Amino acid sequence: MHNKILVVDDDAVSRAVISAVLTQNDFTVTPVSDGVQALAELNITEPPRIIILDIEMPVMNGYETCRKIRTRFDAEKYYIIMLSGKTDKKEVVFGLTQGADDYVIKPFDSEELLARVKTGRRIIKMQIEMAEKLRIEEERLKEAAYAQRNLNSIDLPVHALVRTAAAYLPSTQLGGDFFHVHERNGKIFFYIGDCEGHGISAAMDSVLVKSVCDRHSAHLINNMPAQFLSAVSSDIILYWRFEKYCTLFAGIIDTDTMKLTYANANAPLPVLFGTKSSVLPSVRGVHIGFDTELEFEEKTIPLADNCRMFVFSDALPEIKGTERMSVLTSPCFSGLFSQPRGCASDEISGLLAYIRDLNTGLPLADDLTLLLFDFTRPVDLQFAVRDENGLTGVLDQIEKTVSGYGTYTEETKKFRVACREMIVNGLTHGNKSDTGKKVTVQFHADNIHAEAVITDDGDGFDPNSVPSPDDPVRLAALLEKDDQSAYTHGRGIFMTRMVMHEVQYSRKGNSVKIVINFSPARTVLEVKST
Amino acid sequence: MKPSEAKEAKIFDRAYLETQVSGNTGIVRELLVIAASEIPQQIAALTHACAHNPAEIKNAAHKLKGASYNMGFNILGNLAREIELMTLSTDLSVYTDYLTRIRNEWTEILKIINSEKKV
Repeated sequence: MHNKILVVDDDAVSRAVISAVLTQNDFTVTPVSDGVQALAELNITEPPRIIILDIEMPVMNGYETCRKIRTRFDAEKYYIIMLSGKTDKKEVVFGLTQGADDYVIKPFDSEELLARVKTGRRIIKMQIEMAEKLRIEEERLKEAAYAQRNLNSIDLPVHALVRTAAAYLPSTQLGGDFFHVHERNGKIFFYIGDCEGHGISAAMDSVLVKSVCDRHSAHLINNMPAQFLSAVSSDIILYWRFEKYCTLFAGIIDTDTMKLTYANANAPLPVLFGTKSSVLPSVRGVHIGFDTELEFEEKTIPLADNCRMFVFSDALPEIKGTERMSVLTSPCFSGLFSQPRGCASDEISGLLAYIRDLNTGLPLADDLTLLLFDFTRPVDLQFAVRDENGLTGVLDQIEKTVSGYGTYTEETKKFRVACREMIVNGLTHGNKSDTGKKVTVQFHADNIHAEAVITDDGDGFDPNSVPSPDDPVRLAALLEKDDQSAYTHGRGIFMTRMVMHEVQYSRKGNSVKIVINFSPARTVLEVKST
Repeated sequence: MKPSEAKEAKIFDRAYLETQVSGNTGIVRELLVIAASEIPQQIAALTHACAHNPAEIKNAAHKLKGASYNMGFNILGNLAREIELMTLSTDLSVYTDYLTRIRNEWTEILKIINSEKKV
C-alpha cells in the first residue's frame, strides 16, 4: 500500500523520467498531468500516500493542489514532495508552508529522490500505524466509558417524601466518577466518589471501588456511613497499595425522621438549599486509600421541609465562569434553587444547561456527576369550580403543583388535560351548566403519584352506559355513512382512561378519581463529552 | 553541480540518464521515444511565445529546461536556461539567435535518438 506514488507533472518527459526512476525501485506509479487529476486520484479506496508534485502546472498549480490535499479529512496520511526547478530559498520555504513535507530541486538526482521517497514511506507507515493504534485506544476508551456509565445507578429510587434526579457528564477524557443511590425500608442511602486521574485506569479504578462499596453497603443500611468509609478504605488498600486514592461521600436519608447522616472522605460537601443555602457542616476524613484503618467522623443533621440537597463530584467546584467565579459561589446558581420546582427532568436539564453555559460551551476537564434530592411533603388541596371561567386558574395551580413532584413535563400535561376533561364533564353533564351547583376537586400529590377526586352536584350516571367512542361499528357508521346518530359522547372519559393510570367512578357516578403514577427518574447520561 | 548552475556541455549525457534509471537501457530507449515526441512541442511553444506572447517566454523556457536536463540533454537545457534567466525584452528579435541554436541542438539530439533506434 505504501509503495504507491502519485507523480503530478504537466511535462510528459519529466513525468516519464520520474516514473521510470521510481518503477525501477519497485514503486507503483500513477502519473497525472495536473492538480485536478491528482485530487481525483486520491478519491479511491486505497489512494497513493506519497505524492511528488510539480509546482508550475496549468489548470491547478502545485501550491493549490497541496493546500487542497491538506484540507482533506485524511490530510495527515499524505506525504507530499514538491519538485521544482525553482531554487530560490523563498520559493522552497513557501512550498513548505503550503503543506509540503519535503522539497526536491530539479534536475533531481535519482538517489536523492529515492531516499526522500523512502523517508516519506517510513513516515506515512508510522502515521497510519499510530492512527490505527489511536483508533483501537479510542474503542477501548468507549468500552470502558460504557462499562463505567452502566455501573452507576440508572434507575433512581422512588419515595413519597424524596424526589431524586441525577446526571452524569463525561469529560474529554475518561474520568473516575462513580455513584450509587438506593432505597430500602424508608431509608435512602447514597455515595458519590471520584478516583484520581483520567483514562482507562481511572475508569477501571472506579469499577473496583464501586464493587468494594457494594461489598460494604450493609454499613450504610445500618446507618453507619463512617464505618462504611473505613471498611472501603481498608479493603481498597489491598489493591492500590497506597499508590492511588479516591474521594468518597456517603449519606443516609432517614425519611421517618427526615435526618441525614453522613461521612466524608475529602469529597466536595453537598449544598443544602432551603430558606437559605448552606454547605453541609464539615466532617473529619481523608482520601480513601491513604492509610489502613482510617477513622472518619460522622454527623447527623435535620432536613427541613421542602429543602433540596445538591450533591456533586469534584469537577463542579473547578468549573469557572467567564468572570472566573466558581459555579457554587455564583448568585445565579443559588437562584436556580430558589425558583418554584419544575419536573425532575427539567430541573436536572436546567442545571446541566447552566453548567455548560458557565463553562462557555467548552468540554469539561473532568467528568461530572450531579445528584439532586428534593425533600417534599405530600400536598392536599381542594378547589370548587362553578363554571369554565374559573377553570384555568385551578388547572394552572394543579399543573404547577404537580410539576414540583413529577418526573417529566408530559406527565404533568396529561394530568392537567385529564383534570380539565373530568371537571368540564361535571360542569356540563353532571351540573347541567347550573352555576348554582359546583364541582369540587380534591387534589393530592406526592413524589410517587398525583390524584384528583372530582365530584359534581348532579344526579350521577352509569359510566358503563356511555358507548365507547372507539366502537368499530359506530366509527364505521360515522365515518363512512356520515350517520350523525352514531355520534357518541364519552370521548373525554375515553381519553382520560388512555392517559391516566386509574379512572374510578363512584357508585352514584357523580364522582371520579383519576390517578397518574410518575415514571421513576433515570440518571441523565450524556454520551458525548460536553 | 548545483541545480542552479548550467550543466556540463554535452549533447546527451547518456551516463547520467542511465544512472537515474539504474542502468536499464530499455527504459532509456523508452524515455528517448517520449522525449522525441514531447520536446519538439516544447520548442514550438517557446518559439510561439518569443514571437507572439512574451509573458509566456519564461514558463516555456523553464519547461524545456526541465525536460532537457531530466533527459541529460545538457546543451539544450543550458540554452533554455539562458532564455529563462534573461530579462524580459520587448525586442523579440533578441530571442532569434537562441531559438536558432535550440533548433540546431535539437537536430543533433534527434540524430542520436534515431541512431539509438537503429541499435
